[in-house]
Amino acid sequence: MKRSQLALGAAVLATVAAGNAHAALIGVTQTFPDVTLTASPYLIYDHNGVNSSTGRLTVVTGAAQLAEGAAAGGSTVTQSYFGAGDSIPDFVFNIDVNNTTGAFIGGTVSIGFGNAPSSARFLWQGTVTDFGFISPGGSGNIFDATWNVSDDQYQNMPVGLSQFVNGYLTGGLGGLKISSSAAWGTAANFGTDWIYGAGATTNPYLTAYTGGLTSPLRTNSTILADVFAAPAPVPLPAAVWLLVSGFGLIAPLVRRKSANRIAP
Amino acid sequence: MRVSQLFSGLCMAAGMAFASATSNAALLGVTPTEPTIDFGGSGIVDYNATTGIVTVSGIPSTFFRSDPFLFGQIAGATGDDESLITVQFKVDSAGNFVSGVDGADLIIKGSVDVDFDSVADYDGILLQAEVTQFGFENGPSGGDDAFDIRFGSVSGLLASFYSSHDLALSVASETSTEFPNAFSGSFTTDFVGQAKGVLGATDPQQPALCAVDVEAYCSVNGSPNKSKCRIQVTKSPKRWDWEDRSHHGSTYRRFTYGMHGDPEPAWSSRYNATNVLFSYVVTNTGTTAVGNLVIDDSFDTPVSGVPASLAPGASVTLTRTERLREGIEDVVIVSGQYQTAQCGDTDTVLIKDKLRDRRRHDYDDFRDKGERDNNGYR
Repeated sequence: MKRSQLALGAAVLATVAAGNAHAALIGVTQTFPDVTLTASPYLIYDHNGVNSSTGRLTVVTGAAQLAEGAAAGGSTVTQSYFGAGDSIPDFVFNIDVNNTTGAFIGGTVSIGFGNAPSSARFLWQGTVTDFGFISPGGSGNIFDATWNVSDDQYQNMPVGLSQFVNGYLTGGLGGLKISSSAAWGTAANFGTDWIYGAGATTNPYLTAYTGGLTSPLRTNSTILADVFAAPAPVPLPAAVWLLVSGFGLIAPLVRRKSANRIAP
Repeated sequence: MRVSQLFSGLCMAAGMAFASATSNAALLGVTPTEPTIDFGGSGIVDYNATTGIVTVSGIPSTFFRSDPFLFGQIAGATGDDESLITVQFKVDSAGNFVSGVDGADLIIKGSVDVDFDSVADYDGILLQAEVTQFGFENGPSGGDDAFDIRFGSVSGLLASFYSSHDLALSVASETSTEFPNAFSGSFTTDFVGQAKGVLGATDPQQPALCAVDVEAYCSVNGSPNKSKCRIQVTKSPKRWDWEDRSHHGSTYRRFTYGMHGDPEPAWSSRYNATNVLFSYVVTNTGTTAVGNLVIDDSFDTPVSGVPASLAPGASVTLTRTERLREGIEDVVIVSGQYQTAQCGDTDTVLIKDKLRDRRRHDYDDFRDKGERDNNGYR
């Protein structure tokens, strides 16, 4: 029952063919399970991060919280990418765009295991399939995207989250959303380099990701970002096969009873 | 002078205070700064239109500051293994913040290990605070709804990290398959939406700015405006009286001069009187509009032509002509308001006896008719 509900949620996702440019949101609807990036995610954009015409938006974070959703019980688990002597956030996904038009080119989701091997932790990986953005007045930029889950793994999951077994989401569809309290203004766009996040002007631990940037605009902003997915629907051919098999088994019985009635 | 002193007391009591409760039909625009506490997509924002109570709840994830580095995952508190963040407060049907609730409006509970030794360094009620402001924004189609909340009166085990600051909470509520009845921009009906958020420090709320100035002048027979004028004193039927007044909850006694509703006796017409033109120049010297303008002087009839508000830098001149037969001290009091801030100013204009000799203590700039007994001072 739980899987079918999630499959229905996956169907709700508004997917759009990859390769389109979006100066608007795709319109992704959140599903569960959901991974929220916590401990201050940062948006780091290098306008020529891939090549002279392709920029790369890199998102890094210090921790991630997996939530199964209220309908499934409401349990959560947090994994950290920090540790003793490790103050550098981890890469979790990137999105590549044309640095002139903002047209989506490609991207990956790569939420890795947390640093504590004996604690509950999870891994989600996949391919970003589309990307949209708007910059509304007053509430900053909002990005959304869709992605396909290619791999998901779990370790030491608590009893309340026992549905999370390796491959639970693999093959499923998902989405992601990012909001920033600070808008781009006029100085930041896909043709410039910028960093948005809490303490973006002071955080000394982002250098691992900023080496290629040219005088980036650093803007302190509240970033709220999450990635979500739903298990792939039960494959249709298998269901059809079961249905046809069932009909095949009962069909001779129906014919026999009918024959008996016609010729007593 | 007595009125001036009273007005000073009035300002002390009411004018310079600002209330903690304000309302916003838009986001406040507060940005939580480090250290932050966040909660993920399992959070919920719930509104009950019957009670007017907004509830935000979630499971806190991390406590974080980038420089100097500070980090800890928030786990369950010892004893009940509970980790939670809850916010509750009341709004009206337009979403304006009304009040908090009984007990702390914000409660964050859990345990945090910030030195990676697997032992909780803070365990129990991590933060408590009271809501002082609330803002909201109904998101664009396909986008998130947003709420932000300011808190004061911060206490709890982590309160020292936020000393001299308020707290700010930013909440994003996504369009979610689990919550078909999310916020639609209205507080007249119930809603429940997904929520994730970040709490952090923000600069304390500043008093709203409000500043107003008044300059009072007199003029006799078309003379230039001055702060002191002289008239010929004869005999006047007018008298001083007083009344107790209330201003923003504070009472004070105001002294006024005139007939106080009595008819002017016939005998007064046998005595010369002087028409004195009083001019009150009221200027908004602040950077915000001043509304609820009230202008009082020492006469028993109100000043006419008082505008409802003054824009920053704007000025208005109000005049009145009084037929006087004796010297008086006219104290002019101006008060106004911007949001929760009160402001005011006073000035005094003197009408003196034209024929009275200058006295030793009378060190003003007037050239009196007589110069006896003043040691040559002019």
